[in-house]
Amino acid sequence: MNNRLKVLRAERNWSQAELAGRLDVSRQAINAIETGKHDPSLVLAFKLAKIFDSTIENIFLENHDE
Amino acid sequence: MNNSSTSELAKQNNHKRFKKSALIYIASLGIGFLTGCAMVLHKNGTIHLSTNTLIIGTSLLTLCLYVLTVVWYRSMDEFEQTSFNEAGNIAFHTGFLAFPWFILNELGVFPPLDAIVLLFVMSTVFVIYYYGKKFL
Repeated sequence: MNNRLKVLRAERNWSQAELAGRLDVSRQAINAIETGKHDPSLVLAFKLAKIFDSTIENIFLENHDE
Repeated sequence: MNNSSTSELAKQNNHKRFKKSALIYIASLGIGFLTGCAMVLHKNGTIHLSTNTLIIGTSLLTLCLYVLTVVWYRSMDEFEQTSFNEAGNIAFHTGFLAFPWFILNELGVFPPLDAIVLLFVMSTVFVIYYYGKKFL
């Protein structure tokens, strides 16, 4: 699934470790989500939306190729 | 939300996760080291362990490893848990090597089935997949 996580993170000047710490997950988890290796659970998606003060739809984009 | 305090929270969370993982790894390695030492010393004849001590020791070791695995799993985030589950699934299916091995042994081509070798192969597959997925 495509997402805007890297962009949103860059806008706030946050490193992967910083975002991981805020969400209490590993840095590798953030990297895996950003690179599309891992689709987060709904719980984590809501946490991400809250932390970026946005909506899930605004962060995660449906991939029509899949 | 205060930015600097959240950053402090992020640092604390990262530190907590690192500390927990380090403790689990050190405990696992410590158990392995102590078991290895005890086995070598017992085989050398340096220490003499009774059958009861060996049975109780092995049971405690098994229990410790089970508890550590549960603690480890519960301390993981969802990405690590997914990797763990996938690695476990693949490692479990590697165990099916036992069937051709058994047949080949019956046909006199292979040596007898060795559970420890099989366990080692399964563990190796697990470790390669889990850490490969996590870090690569």
